[in-house]
Amino acid sequence: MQPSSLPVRPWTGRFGRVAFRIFLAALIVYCLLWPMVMLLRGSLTGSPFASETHWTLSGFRQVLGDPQLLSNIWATILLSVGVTVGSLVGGTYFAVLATRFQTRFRSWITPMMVLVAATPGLFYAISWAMLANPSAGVVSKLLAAIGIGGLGQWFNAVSWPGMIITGSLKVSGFAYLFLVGPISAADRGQEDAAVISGASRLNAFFTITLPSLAPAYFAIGMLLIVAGIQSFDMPAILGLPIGIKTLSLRVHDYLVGYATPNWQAANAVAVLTMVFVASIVAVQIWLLHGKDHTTVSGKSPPVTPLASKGWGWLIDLSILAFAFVALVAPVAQFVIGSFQPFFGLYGRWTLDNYIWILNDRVGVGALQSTLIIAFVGASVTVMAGFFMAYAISRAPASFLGVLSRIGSWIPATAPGIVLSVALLFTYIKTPLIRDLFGTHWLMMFALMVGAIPIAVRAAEGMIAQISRELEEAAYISGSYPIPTVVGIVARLCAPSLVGAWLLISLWMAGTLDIPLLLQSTNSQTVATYAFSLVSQGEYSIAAAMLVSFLLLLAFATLILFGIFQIARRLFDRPRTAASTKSSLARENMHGN
Amino acid sequence: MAIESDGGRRSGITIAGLVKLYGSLKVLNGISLDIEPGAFVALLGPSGCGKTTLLRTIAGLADASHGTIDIGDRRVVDADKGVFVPPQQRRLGMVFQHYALWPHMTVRNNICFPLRKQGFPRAEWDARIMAVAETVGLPTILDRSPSQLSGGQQQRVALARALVSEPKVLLLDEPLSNLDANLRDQLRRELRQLHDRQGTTTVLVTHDQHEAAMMADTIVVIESGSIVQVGPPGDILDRPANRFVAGFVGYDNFLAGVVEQLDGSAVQIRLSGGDVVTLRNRGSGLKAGQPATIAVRSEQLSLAGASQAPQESFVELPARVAGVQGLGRWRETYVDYAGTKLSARDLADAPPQGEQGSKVFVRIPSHSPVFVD
Ligand SMILES: Nc1ncnc2c1ncn2[C@@H]1O[C@H](COP(=O)(O)OP(=O)(O)O)[C@@H](O)[C@H]1O
Ligand SMILES: [Mg+2]
Repeated sequence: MQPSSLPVRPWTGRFGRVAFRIFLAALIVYCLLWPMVMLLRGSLTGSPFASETHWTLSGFRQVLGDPQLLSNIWATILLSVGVTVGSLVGGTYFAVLATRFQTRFRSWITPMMVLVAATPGLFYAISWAMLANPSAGVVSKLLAAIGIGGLGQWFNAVSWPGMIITGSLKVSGFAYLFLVGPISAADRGQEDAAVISGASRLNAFFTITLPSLAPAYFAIGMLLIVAGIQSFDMPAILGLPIGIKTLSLRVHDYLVGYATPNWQAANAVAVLTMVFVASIVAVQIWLLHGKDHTTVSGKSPPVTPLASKGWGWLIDLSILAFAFVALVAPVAQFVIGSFQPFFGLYGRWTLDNYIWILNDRVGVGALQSTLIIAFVGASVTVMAGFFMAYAISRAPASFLGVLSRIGSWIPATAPGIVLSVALLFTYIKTPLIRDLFGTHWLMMFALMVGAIPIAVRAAEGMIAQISRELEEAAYISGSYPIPTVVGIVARLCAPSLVGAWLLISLWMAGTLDIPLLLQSTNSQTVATYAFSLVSQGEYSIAAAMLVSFLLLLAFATLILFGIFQIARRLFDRPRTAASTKSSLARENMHGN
Repeated sequence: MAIESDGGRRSGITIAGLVKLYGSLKVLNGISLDIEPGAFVALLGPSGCGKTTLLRTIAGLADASHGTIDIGDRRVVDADKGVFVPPQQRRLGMVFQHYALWPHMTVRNNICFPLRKQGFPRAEWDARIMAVAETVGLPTILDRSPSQLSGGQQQRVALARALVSEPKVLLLDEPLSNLDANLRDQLRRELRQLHDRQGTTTVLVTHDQHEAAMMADTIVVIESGSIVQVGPPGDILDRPANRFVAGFVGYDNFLAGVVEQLDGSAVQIRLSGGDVVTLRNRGSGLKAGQPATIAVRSEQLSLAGASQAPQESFVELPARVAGVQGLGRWRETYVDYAGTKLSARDLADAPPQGEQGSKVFVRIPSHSPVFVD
């Protein structure tokens, strides 16, 4: 009874494996590292379309001599620090409620925050620009209706306070998701010791527990500040109209704000912004000595309420208020706005905006392209991110592991608009890829590059949960590496990978800055098209555009999910034939 | 299914000069070991001594820095020549510490996996699965998911998966350490019986001397990456080769002295207090005039108020009681013999062996082991 044959090696041998690895390494270098080299080159040479290369420092000279630069830097810092502080306060408040208070709506908090975090910033910005518009917004209309219209002028999202408050609402979602782990896992023992010594629970929390989380706050704060420096959609919609320009907007400005694009200067600002971000990241790494304080430690201790009942209703009210302001109101404004003939006119319901989109070749094209990007691009990104994360966590010292780690951080340090410039230069200089200009494929590539950090970070978390012994048991059983990674590790991660896919496809659809320079008049994503509509004041059509996309995405996902379920019924049978029969037979045997 | 009693399924393992480095850390330090076909060998040692690393190197889950490993007549590792047969091709069975059952597969599919991957004919699968389930005593749970099983059941499934493809060698890495004491005891017996029936060469990693002694024919004691003693359980427990092994298998009193005279298995030792004792269980390497150590377990050390005439079975030393400590069911009496502290253990409700400061005679069994260091 010996097996019929020995397992056959699926690879052609050592040479084949080495060649395969070199190919993967080259792919990572080209997609994730090379664009940064091209960005630097662009800052020293200028237009990517020029046939000859002139090396010059004029880009840096112009930028550094520009009196506006300082105000751009200040705007960037003010925005990102303001939003970081605001969102840390909001995130802390809800994380403490979710982990340390027994209130009625406690179980709502996490889903609510996931939704807030997953909602594209572009959507948020547009919605709040509509909601809090001093002449046409719902808020001012409501105020006018109750006779205090004079106050309406104070509710203007297109302003410094508006930008920071809107940003804080949106980023609170992320801050919460980062903070809830450390806050719930914080060493309860120290707090208990203070309580035993006579302090009140609340007092002990503020004087013992919270200070012990300082490193976590520092790490998360730095992360949010970097994200703030990189943000584009919020300042583009809520700041640009009143002349606020962050560094990201300045890059864009050099390219589209003048009669001819100033490539050297745009690239030079981009390079300087990267240096700025990289130095913040370096300071953070240096101060934290590489310790990652943001990891969630799995099990959380049981809830020890911070205070007894009494003001529970106030807490419930605050949760409801946040849900209204951060989710219900923007969605309602969006949906209602998309059914109104003009932004600012309320009361007449019409499908005109939707009909307009369906008759607009560019609009339909944008919907199609974005759906393709969401399904093809996001799926490939999730898979690539999974394999990179696998290399990072299982072979951290290997060539591919190191390259994957570096490659998965580079796009995260580049602001989206900087990535857009870098990829533009890279693709123009690459034969064959160059021919894809004007199609949605280039925007898809760019969004994939931008989403790789998200995909890798998400997959790293999943892979860390899977014991290495599960793979080793498969190797011992005779299984080879690639079938094992796919059949055991990826299969076990499948539910989380689907979650990551949904998140990334939403992110790709809602990201404005990365595809911005790779779009063409006929080839757009819903984000770039909605942005151009908003720039022309067509808020209602932009809203209808985004609502249509979300409906299509939900519809397509449901269909795919249905197909998947049917396929599973058909193919996922027990692997051996006689399963039920033989176990029944055994049962009978034991019965006798 | 009839269990084949022989054929290609028993392989010996020969390890020669095995070195494993993690960076500059030498985890295995020149291991050489011969495992007979059909043997049951336990690798015993404290945590961190390199047992798992050695087992994983045999399995092919870790590579070696130097040295060779042969399984049967096949060379699977020759580090200096770059020979490395990957685990897929070594045809072993292995049970992991945390069982490593695949949670997305039913018990049946878990057990079937090696059959699929190793190309067993599909027609045989069911029969083989049923046979191995019977062998390891799995009840009718084949279509359940591993997460619905108790620890003991999971352990059996892991064992069934390791055995289903009739491996030539079975590797067990602390397979029982996650079970509660009763179940652990039961499974030790079952594993041993299984080995006696099937005769698969088995290598067990454990840090528990009782487990090693109860299951294995041969115990290999490892200290910081080196083998310090190899032998049957009786040898290891009664004739530890040095102080490390003695301490590890439960000897807790040590008396230093100098060898006076050697005579067959008997050895005369002059102790630090000047007394000369004759013991009958000497280790190897002792030389007249050289230092030696006597090891005694505290429960084998007894105290007497008065001296007796010289006996065959024990030797006596005068000592003074330094203290008495109750330990639940037990009582430990500490005595001082010429500056060496010794402890004698007896039942707490037995009559006291002496009060603090009183003079007593310490009785040491004359078969107590004696070794060089
Ligand atoms: N992958 C690794 N990298 C570095 N050191 C390791 C690695 N695996 C094990 N070690 C070290 O090798 C030594 C032996 O480990 P191990 O074989 O697991 O011991 P045991 O199983 O006897 O407890 C330990 O000091 C451990 O820290
Ligand atoms: Mg171990």
